[in-house]
Amino acid sequence: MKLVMIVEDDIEISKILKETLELAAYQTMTAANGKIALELLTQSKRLPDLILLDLMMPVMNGWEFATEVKKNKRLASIPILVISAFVDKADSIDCVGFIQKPINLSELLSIVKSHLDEGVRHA
Amino acid sequence: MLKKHEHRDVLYRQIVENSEEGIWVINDKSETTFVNEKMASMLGYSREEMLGKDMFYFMTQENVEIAKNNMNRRKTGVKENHDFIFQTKAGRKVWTSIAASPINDQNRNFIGALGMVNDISERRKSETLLLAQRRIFELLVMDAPIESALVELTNALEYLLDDVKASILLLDEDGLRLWTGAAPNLPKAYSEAINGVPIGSKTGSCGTSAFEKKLIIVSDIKTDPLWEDYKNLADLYNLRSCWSSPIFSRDNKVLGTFAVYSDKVRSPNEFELQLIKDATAASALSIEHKRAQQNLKISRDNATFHSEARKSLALTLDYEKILNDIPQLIVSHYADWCFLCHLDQDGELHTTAFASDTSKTHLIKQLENYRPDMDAPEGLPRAIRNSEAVLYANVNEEQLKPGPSGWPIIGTRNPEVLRIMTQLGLKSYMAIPIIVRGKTVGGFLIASSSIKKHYNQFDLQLAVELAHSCAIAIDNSILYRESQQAIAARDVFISVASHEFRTPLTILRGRIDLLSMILEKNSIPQALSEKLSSTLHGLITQSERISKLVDTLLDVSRIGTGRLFLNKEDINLSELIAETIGRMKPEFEAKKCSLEVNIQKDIHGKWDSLRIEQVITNLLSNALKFGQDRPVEINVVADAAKVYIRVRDHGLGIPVQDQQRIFACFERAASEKHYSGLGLGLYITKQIVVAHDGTIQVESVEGNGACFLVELPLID
Repeated sequence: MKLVMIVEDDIEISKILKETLELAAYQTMTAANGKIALELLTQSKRLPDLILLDLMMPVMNGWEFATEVKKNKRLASIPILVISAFVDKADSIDCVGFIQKPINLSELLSIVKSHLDEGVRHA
Repeated sequence: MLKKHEHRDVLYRQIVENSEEGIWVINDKSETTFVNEKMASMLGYSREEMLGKDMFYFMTQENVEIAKNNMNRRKTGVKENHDFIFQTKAGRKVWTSIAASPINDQNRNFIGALGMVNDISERRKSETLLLAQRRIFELLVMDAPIESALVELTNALEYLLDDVKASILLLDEDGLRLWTGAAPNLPKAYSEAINGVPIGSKTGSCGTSAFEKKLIIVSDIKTDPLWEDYKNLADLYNLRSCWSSPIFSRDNKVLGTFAVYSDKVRSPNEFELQLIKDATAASALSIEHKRAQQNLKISRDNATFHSEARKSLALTLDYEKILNDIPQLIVSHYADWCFLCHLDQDGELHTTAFASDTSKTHLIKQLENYRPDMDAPEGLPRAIRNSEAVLYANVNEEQLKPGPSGWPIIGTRNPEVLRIMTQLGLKSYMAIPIIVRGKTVGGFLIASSSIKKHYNQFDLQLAVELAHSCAIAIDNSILYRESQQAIAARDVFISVASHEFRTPLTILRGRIDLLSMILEKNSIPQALSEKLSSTLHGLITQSERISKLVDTLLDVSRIGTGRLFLNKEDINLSELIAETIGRMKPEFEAKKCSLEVNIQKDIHGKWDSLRIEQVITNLLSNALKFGQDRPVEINVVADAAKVYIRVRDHGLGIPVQDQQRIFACFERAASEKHYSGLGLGLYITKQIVVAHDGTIQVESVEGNGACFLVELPLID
């Protein structure tokens, strides 16, 4: 089972993403901001196959988080998929793609699926 | 009984005695042998006094040679008419015209001459004055200074009268002092000494004449009380008598004085009085003409200045810039310094901006924090209190000290300000309120420290007009600033609101999607499943509608903040439009509205496909919305330079007066009570088209549909 990390400060959205991904038979781990996510990643033995990343978050935002991840050798290769209301703001982030809010879940699932399958191919 | 020849003698004598002509007979030695009464009185003598006297006795030295030549011609038998100047007993000139003929004895030997003499002084006087006036007129037409024109008059008078010097003094605008206008032959030092003499009841002939507004004859300066203060000065230059006449304007104001000086103790005769009167009248005409000319020039200059000032005011909507520029403009035109003050909410005055002539900057700078005291009875506080401009044409040093009321003539009694004002040499100033929409918001203080620049009504009028233009500019800039602030606030609101909508929308949409997925994964009785599906479909449609509205608002916010960026790429426009129409088909079918499509194939170019799609969608949605279900046509063609997209409906149409307005933000032509919408569609459409360097226009007749034409350039 593929593992997807959800970094999103809005609990409701986080919940929907989690439920949707689980319904599609993915494992999930969630974090309410970049800092928590980073801690989780450094502690966790198993790394996620994909990170769904919101941009505007308290404590540590999406941009800062992505920068930290890319700096960390162990984490740098995890593909990041940005979820944001501002597509234009995601430009500066080293990511594999982005999904605009409001999210169309079936679209989300197909994008996630394509990235994970690709990941499998590359693995 | 008289004998016949005796009878004839009496007759001749009577003719001679009663002649209106002067008759003068001399012998061959030029001695007077006969004069009639008329001749004697013409020269101010009795007949007895003249008899036996040499003819040359009755003329000035410079004319003796001429007379001798004349006499020689008589001796050779010449009879002729000529003009000649005699001198009266009192020493004055008499212009005469003489019919002269020789007298010979029976043997044709020269024994004397006969002169029939006419006094032509009057005529000569008129001719001389007329000539002078003509010359003055020429000078004034050539825009010569008044001084050089007036010299013509003093010269003419000096030519007509012996041993006198004429002078014209001009009264300044405030009517207090006399300044030299023309006195070419008076001693320069004397003219300089009396330049600027105040008028008054005991100020010599001229000062008194201007003050009393009447002719003043001082025949002996040394003894006349009017000259008490000036007699020593006059004595220095050997001036013994002075007759001065006020020069009046047509409206009876004193313009100056015309004066005649002599080095003898004497009074004017009738001829001289008449001459002074005529010369005075001619001076009045000249001065008035010149003043009118000057006023015309001033008002022309003022008009030019005002129109330039208005232009520069219209150039900006920047409040601060207007306030800073105005004092500078005023100083450049007609002030030594200028302050602009504004009233704060507590009714206190503050200096907003100031400017000054560079020579005064160091002093003016010290007044930077100058605050007129609103309790002051005069100055800017008065102008602002009464909302009425005040002119202080003449300010003297005394008036800059707190008077009996405790206040000076300016709007403060701050000793430091008064000291600086005195140092600046304030001579004249104007206080002008600035009234914006009936409310006095502040004022100008426009000041001169030049003795030559005393403000008058014309200057005041200009300042008032300027303040008016300034008020309009300030008002415009305030309105502009407020509207800019309102627009900025609106944009911020739209931006924040639309972003805030996005989060709950995301959640709503997420929950709906999740629900559909759950439905798909679980087996539910078919009847229930269909019901749920239809409900879910409704939820999706409505959440999409809200999303679109939010997107629209976001676009407005992007445009308002200049963040509408295009993502241009090579596209096949024909296909893009066809696909867009395909997506909209169901909406047209639902309203049973036919859509006629005519698209030229394969139009390629560089455009932002999502944005162009938005343009097409907006135009077609409008056609559907306002087309009253009548057929809609879309036509797309291209030539070498442009693509032409036409969307035509046959519905309500747009009134001519609304056809430009509909492209503005939050504007709509149709009634809000019948048609929903934010009034943003055409605004965004136009912004997208313009961002692509294209144009959009509408042709419509109210009630007869509308046709929107979008033109996009093909070459990027």
